[in-house]
Amino acid sequence: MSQAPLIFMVDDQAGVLKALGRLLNAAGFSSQAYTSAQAFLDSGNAAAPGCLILDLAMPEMDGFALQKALAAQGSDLPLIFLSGHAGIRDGVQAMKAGAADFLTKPVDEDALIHAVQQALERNRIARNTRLERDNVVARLASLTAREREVMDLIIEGKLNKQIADTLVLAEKTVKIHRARVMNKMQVRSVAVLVSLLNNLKHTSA
Amino acid sequence: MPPDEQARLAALRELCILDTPPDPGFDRVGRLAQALFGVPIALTVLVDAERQWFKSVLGLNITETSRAVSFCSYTIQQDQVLIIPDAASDPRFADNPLVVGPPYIRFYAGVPLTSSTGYRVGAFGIIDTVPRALDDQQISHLHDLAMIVNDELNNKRLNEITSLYRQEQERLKKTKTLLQLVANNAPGMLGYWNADLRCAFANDAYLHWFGLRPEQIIGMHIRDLLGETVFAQNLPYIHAALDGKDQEFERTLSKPDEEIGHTLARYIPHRVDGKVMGFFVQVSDITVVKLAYQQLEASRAQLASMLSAIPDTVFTHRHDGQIIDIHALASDDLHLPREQILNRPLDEVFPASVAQQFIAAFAAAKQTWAVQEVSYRLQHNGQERYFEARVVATLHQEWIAIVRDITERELNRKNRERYTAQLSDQLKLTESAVRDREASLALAADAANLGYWYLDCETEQVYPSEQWCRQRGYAVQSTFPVAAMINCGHPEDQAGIAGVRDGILPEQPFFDYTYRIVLPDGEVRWMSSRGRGEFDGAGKLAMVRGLSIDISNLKQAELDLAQKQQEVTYLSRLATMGELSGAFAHELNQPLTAILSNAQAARRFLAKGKLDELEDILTDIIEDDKRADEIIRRLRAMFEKTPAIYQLVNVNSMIMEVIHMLSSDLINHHVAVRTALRSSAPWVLADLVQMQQVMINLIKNSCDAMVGVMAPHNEIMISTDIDSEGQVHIRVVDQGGGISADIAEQMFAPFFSTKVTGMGLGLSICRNIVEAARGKLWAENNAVCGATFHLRLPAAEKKEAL
Repeated sequence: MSQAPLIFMVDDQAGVLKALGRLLNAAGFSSQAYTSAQAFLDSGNAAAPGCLILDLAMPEMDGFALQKALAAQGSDLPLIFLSGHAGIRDGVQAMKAGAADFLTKPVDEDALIHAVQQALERNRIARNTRLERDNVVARLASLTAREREVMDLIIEGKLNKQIADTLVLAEKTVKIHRARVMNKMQVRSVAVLVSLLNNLKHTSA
Repeated sequence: MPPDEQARLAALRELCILDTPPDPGFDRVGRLAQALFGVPIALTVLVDAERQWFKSVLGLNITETSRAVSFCSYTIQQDQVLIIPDAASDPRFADNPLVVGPPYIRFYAGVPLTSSTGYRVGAFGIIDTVPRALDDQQISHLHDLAMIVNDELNNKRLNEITSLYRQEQERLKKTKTLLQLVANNAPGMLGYWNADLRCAFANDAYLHWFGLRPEQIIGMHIRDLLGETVFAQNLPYIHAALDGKDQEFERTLSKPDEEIGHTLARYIPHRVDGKVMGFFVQVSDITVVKLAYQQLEASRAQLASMLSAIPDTVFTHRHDGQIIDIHALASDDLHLPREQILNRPLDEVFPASVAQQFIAAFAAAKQTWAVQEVSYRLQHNGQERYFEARVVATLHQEWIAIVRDITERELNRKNRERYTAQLSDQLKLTESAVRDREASLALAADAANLGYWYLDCETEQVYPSEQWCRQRGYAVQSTFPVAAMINCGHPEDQAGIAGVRDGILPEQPFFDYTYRIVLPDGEVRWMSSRGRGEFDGAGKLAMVRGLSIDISNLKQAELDLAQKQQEVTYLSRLATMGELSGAFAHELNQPLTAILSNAQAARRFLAKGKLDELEDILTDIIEDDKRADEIIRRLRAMFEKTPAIYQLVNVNSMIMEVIHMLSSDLINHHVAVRTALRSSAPWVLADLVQMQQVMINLIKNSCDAMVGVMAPHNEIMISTDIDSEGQVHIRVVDQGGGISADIAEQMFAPFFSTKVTGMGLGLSICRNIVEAARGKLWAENNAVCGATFHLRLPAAEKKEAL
C-alpha cells in the first residue's frame, strides 16, 4: 500500500523532459516522463501517489485537456502546470480547475522543487483523507436502514425517547440500535460521530 | 616757196639730221662766229616744210620756230649771203614778231647750207639786237664759217650712211642665219633649184630625206637626185614651175627607212623682174595627215550609216546660211519636200520665229562648243507637231541639228501636267487638312510633353518632333542619325534601347520600352517610348514610329511607392510577428527551460560529487543553446528591415522552416499541419524573408479560418508542386468555413479584415510581394469545406538537389 511517490512529467519537448528529470533526480526525487498526455493516461498512473508536472501547450491533447481527463477519473495527483508564456488567464483557469501550481518556463529549481514538495504533501494528505473517508463510507455502508435512521436522529442530538417516539419504536429497541451504530461507526461519542460525518460531507462536496 | 620745194625737202630728209641731239661740232662753229662778229646769237638752221629747226643755237633759248617768222627761209631762196642791216626798217621784217618782240632782232646775216645733191636745206646765220653792217671781209669770213658747217652737215650724212650699211649687213647676216635656222627647223623639206635644174639650197629635212650632205647636194642635177623614174613623173610639174606656175602634187614614196610615206610637194617659181630664175621646192610629210584623213573618211562613213539608222531628222547647216545636207528616215518625217529644204536658207525652210531660234542656237553653239537645244512647233500633215532639236557646231563652220518629233511625249506631258495640276489641287486641300491635323497633334503632343519621332530603317535617320529634341536637351533639328537616339540613353540602358528594334516583329509590331536618358547637364530622366514598326512588302522593318514621354515624375512616384510598399511590407511583418510573439516566446522557452534545468541539475550533481552524468548534461545544454540561437537568428531575419534580396529559394525548405517557426502558435490554435511537398524541391527567385512572411500569413490565415468552426480535423494541408506550365504551385488548404462570396473580391484589398484585431494588410501585402516576384496569389473554396490559397511563382533554374 505505501508506494513511494513518483514525479510524472508530460511535455512534447523531449529535451525539457530530460533536463527536468535530471534536476528532480539530483534533488532526490524519482521521475517518470511522457511526451504526450495520451501516453500518460494510457500508463494508468493517474491514481498513483506522487504529482504530475505537465506542459500547458501540446499538440493533440494539451494541459487543460489532461487536467480535465484526470479530474474525470478522480485522480488525486496534484498538477503542476509549466507554461511557455505566463498568461494570467491560463493560470487562473488551471488553478480553478484544481491545479496545485502554475509555473512558467524556464523554471527555477527552487520554485520547482518547492512546488513538487508541496504537491507531494498535498497528495499525501489527499490520499490519507481519501482513505479515511473511504473507511467512514464503508462503515456507513455496513449500517442497516433502521440503524441509519436512528444515526441520523442521534446526530441531530435527539434523546432515545424522542427517537422512539419519532420512529414509533420501543425505547429499548432504540438503545440497541444506537449501540450498534456507535459500534459499527467505531465511535465512542456522539460528538466524534458528528465530526466524522461532517468531514465526509466536506470531502465529497 | 622755192619751186623745187618737194625735192629740197627730200634732200633735207635724206640728211637724217632733223630732231637729232645737239652736236658739239656745229656749236663750236657758232661760238667762233659769236666771237668773230661780236654778235649775241649764232644759228645753224634747217628749214623744214612748216618750221625752221635749229641744229645749233647760241644765245637763244629756243629749238625751233614757225617757218613764217623765219629769216632763214629767205636766205635759202638765194645762193648768196642775205644781210638785213636793220630789220625794223626792212619792210619784210619790220612787223616780224621776233623783231617787235623778244629776242628783238635788228640785224641778221645768213649763208645758205646746201646738201650734197645741191638743194639749199638751211642756213648758217648771225643775229644782233642792234642794227649793223658787214664789210666784204666780214662777209667772206661768214661764208667760210658757213662752208665749215656745210661740210660738217654732209660728213655727218656720210658717216651715218656707212653706219647704216654696216647695220644692214649685220641684220642681213642675222636674217640669213635665222632663215637657215627656220628652214632647217621647218617640218617640211625646203629646197631651191635653179632654172638649169641644179640645186642651190636644201634644208636639213631635205638632206635627211635623201641622205645627203650639203656639199653633195649643192650643184646636183634634179634628175640625179630623184632618179629617172620619179624625175620623169615630176617633169611636167618642173616644166610648169619654170613656166611660172605654182605646182602642187602628192606622192607616195618609200622613205629611206623603208616605211611608206605620203608627201605633198609644192613647186613655187622664183621670179626676178618677170623672169623665172628657178623654183622653190617645199615637200611636206603628210603621212600622219593622210592617215588621219583616212580615219576621218571612215568616221564619216560610220557617221553616215549611224545617221541613217537614227529616227531623228538631221540636217547640216553651213556658215553661208544654207542647209547643205539632210537626213530623214522617211520623207514623211520632213515638213517640206526634200528639195525645198536642201540648199535653202533657214528662213525659207522654217517660220521666222523658228529660224531665229536656230540662228541663236548656232551662235551659242559656236561660242561655247556646247550642245544647244531648240524647241518649236510646226504644222505638219495638217496637225500641230512638237519638235526638239539639239544643235552642235562642227570645226568646219557648220552646224548639225538633230531634230526629234516629240509630239507624243509632249502631248503626254501636257496631259500629265493637267492631271498633276488636278491632283495637286486635291493634294493642296488634303495637305491643308493634314497640316491642320498635324498642327493640332503637335500642339497636343507638346502639351502632353510627348516627343514624336520616326526612324527610317534604310537611312538610319531619326526624324523627331521639336519636343523630342527638347526632352533630350538637343538643339531642335529635323533629323538625327539613329546613334543620337541611342547615345542619349543612360550607359546601362543603351544596349536595351538599341535592342528594341529586334523585338519588333510583323506579328507583334508594337513596342513599349522604359529607359533612362542622360541630359547634357548630366541629369538622368526616365523615359517611356511606345510605338510600332512598319514593314515593307518583304517583311523587312522599314520604319518605326514612336512617342516618347518623360516619366521621371511617374517613376519617382513609383519608386516612392515601392519604398512605401517596402515600409508597409515591413510594418505588416512586424505586426504579424508581434501577434506571434507569444508563440515565439514559447518556442524559445523550450531550449531555455532545458538549459536552466540541466545547469541546475549539474550544479546539484557537482555538489554531491556525482560527476558521471555531467558530460551528457553539458552536451545537452550546448545543443539547446544552439537551438535557441537558431530560433533567435530566424526571428531576427523576420524583424530586420532590409531591402528585398532576390535569390534562389528552396520552396520546400522555406515552408518547413515557417511551419517550425509557427509550431507553438499552431499548437495554441490546436491546428495540425500536414505537408505533401514535391520530392525534388522546387526553386523560385524571391526574397526569402518576404516569402516566409507570405507563408506565415497564409498559414495563420488558415488557422484563423478554422477557429470556432467545427472542423473535422482542424488540419492545414500544405503542398508544393510544379504545374504543367512549369510554374511552382504552392497550396495551403484549410478546413475552415470557406470564403463567403461577399468578401472573396475584397480579401486581397488593403485594410480588409474579418478579424477584430487584424490590421487588414496581410493578404494585400502578400499579393504585392508575390506579384513583385512575378507570381500570382489567389484563393478559392474547396469542394467540401474550407478554402485553398494558391501561390504560383515562376520556377527558377536550379539543380534539383539539396
